[in-house]
Amino acid sequence: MSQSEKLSPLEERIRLYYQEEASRIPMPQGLSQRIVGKATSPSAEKPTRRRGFRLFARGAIAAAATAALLVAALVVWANVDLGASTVSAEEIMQRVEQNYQEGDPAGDIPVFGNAPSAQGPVEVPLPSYGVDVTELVPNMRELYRVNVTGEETLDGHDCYVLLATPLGKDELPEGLEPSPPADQIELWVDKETNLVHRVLLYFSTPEELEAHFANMGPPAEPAPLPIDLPPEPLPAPEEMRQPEPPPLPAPPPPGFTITPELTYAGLLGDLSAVHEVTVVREETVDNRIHYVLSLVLKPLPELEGVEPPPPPEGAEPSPPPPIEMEVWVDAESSLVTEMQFTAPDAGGGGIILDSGPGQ
Amino acid sequence: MAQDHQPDDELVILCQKGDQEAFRQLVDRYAPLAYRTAALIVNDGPIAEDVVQEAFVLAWRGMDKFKPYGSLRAWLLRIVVNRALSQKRRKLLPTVATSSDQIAAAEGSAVVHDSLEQWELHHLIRQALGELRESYRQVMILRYFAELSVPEIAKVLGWRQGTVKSRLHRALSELRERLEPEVIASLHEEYREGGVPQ
Repeated sequence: MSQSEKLSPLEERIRLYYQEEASRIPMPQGLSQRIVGKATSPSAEKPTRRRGFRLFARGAIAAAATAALLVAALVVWANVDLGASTVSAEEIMQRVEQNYQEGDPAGDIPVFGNAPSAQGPVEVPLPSYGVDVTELVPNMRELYRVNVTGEETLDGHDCYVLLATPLGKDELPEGLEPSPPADQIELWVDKETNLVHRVLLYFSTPEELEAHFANMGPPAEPAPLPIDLPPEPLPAPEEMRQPEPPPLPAPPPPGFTITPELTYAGLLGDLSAVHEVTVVREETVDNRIHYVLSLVLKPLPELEGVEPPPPPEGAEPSPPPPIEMEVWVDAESSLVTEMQFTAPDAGGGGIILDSGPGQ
Repeated sequence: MAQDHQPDDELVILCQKGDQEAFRQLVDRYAPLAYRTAALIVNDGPIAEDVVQEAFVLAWRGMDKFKPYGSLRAWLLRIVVNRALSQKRRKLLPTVATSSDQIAAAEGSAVVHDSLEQWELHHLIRQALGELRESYRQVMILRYFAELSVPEIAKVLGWRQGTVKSRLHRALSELRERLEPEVIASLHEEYREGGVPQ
């Protein structure tokens, strides 16, 4: 940006904002030396003859794979009626991108994931999440090879059907690594409006699918439990899935120890124990954003389903004190990493969990 | 032999001949910009450091591919941004913008604002930028932080120039919509009175 370039007040303010932000990001000590050392170390030297051979071998394998793919594509093509489609995949993608840039219609559309299993493909409806076409399409153009596989009518809309398969590492732009959102993407694009009516994401394993949608949600703003955090935000380890999580143990007495099982299955897995939950703040712990939840548990007698003990002779009966605690939940993984009892009756202690469930 | 304040293109030619001192000068010159750009994209100091290290290693290895008539700054940032986006996708980093505060806090740096109004304004802009979609944030960072031109941004992000322009335009429009009208009015007022404080 040249000095003479006239910026609007808003642009000028944004420039200043970034300057301020950047000035607060301290340069790591000795970064330049580490970079030079790493780049010029013998192990990171420019390609040697041996590495050259490896590159050649890799190229040969890639060429063979491409040839095999071409043959496969020809076989598929021979069986697919492409007579009506004279538009290239790139042209359709450009139209979609342009369309969503200009009009930005319906940012989110329903998306379904296919999780192939031993029994065959299973369509998993995920209505609570969507995919942002304005992000997906540029991603597809960057990381995938896209082909028109045919034309279909979907809910009365004439559509092109596009199939995208990830580019190999050698085909990607410099510095980019193959980390596409899914193994394959299928897209139904309206011929007239260029709107995307359907997206199918294919994953080779259910874990990939789950990881993908864990990345898409939850919403950016924290909201109180139990609405936002799903009961099992990450796949629990086998030992926690089978058998079913045990019923909620009683809140521990002073001097207790908390096990991950109690923390996860006992506390957050059974929210009937929780009387009140609020997100009180966000904190960064170990460089990860955490939601700090304030939990008020039901009083001990109520939890155990017993009558509260009678008050001492002469004393006024008083309700048993609630048990209060703060819980640190990793905003990204939803794992509980730390708990702290705040009520004096519960010991007032805290514990840092080395590893949460699912890790 | 590389000398201080030598122009980029001369340093590149020296690098292409294997001059490590010339490479060190390029690193000294561009590592801060590269690191902060990466940090603004990935919102994580250690990951940004990894990104920059890997990007410069790639640049050193691929220096032969660099054409002297191009912008070295844009070429380096292209590698940095590509690495940063790859890391972001791979590590499932949050797409919402956090802030330099988290990185600064992790590094133990204090955050100081001149006045409450300035702090509020800064906070409002951060919030509004954080609500932008990822592609808009990328283009904003490259335009207003790295101060690249539209053609340079197009090269860095691999988009067409028209796409860069339209995304910049839409990002600014969205920011205007997200910021309160009073904020926009005060910015104009500030501007009329002698520009944004430096």
